[in-house]
Amino acid sequence: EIMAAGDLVFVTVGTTRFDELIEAVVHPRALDAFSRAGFRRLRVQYGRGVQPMVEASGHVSVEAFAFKQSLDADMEEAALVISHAGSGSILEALERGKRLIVVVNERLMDNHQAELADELNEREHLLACRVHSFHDTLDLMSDSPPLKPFPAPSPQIFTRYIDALMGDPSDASKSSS
Amino acid sequence: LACRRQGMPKIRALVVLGSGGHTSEMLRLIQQLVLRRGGEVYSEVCFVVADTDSTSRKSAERAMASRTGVKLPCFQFVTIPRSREVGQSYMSSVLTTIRAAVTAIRIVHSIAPDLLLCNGPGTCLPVCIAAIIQRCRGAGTPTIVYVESVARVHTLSLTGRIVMALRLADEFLVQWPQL
Repeated sequence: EIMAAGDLVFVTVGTTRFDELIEAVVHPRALDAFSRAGFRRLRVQYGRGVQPMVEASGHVSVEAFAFKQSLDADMEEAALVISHAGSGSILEALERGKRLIVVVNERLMDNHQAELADELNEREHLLACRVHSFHDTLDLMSDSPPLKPFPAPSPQIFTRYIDALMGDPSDASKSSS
Repeated sequence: LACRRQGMPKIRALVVLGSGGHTSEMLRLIQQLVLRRGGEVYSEVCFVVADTDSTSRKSAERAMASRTGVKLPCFQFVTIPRSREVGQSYMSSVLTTIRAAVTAIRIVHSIAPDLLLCNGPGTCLPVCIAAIIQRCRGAGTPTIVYVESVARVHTLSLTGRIVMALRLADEFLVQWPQL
């Protein structure tokens, strides 16, 4: 089971623009839900979108930035990650064992991103929703069944496959690293 | 047609990096492959990026950055014209892909890789085509491996479907059972 420790909610949209999610996440209704769930800080990475206007809320402190060299530290620190449906962001959060809510951007024309989010939602590794159902999802967050930990990545599968393909002789006697 | 190198463990890989998501997935895929065992097996890696892609190179450099005790393979970057912009018509895409393929043919010929790895961006099509042409020249290499993105659960990407239809890859890998 994935347990949330700590009080930071980190929101990321990667290199995209997703103003509707950003607005929804700093909305009083969201801040309220975060506060009730025990979170005290909200950090928003808004990418190419518009900088959010935040109404001061007593319970949750909010900061926002557009981009950073690396989001590693924020991802690591977060107790809850809310992300757009980009596979990179999703996998990064899951591989760090983070509780993850993915919001699918329905304005994207070619929305194959939804496939990954919905599939992982079905496998109970994350909660996937759309902007219009985002606040409801937040409200129900504490009541949803616990999420299943994501299996650790197995890069050696691909590595061994390619080795075998390329007929790498030095692999024959060695165990995988 | 796969090239088996007997007694010559050093392999030169040509890796195509597409935009954003494709790049991070590809780097994740090859990290263990390339950086393990002192970087001695896949000792030379050449990354292909589209000329309009400004971030993939930096991501790759970061991913290949020094880790303690790991010898780095030699790596370099080459650019090719972008095959297709988002929303570009299919007719003009064929022309721009051909233009990119001309550059790709030159690159593949001069690099002479043993292995070509791509994971789905339009950028990889001209490179796959160039690799097939390289093989037709009697070189026997490179082995062409196409990995469909992990984001593709139910449907193949357009690039994937083209690669399948034209049989451009020796190995076509998908990451979900539904495919």
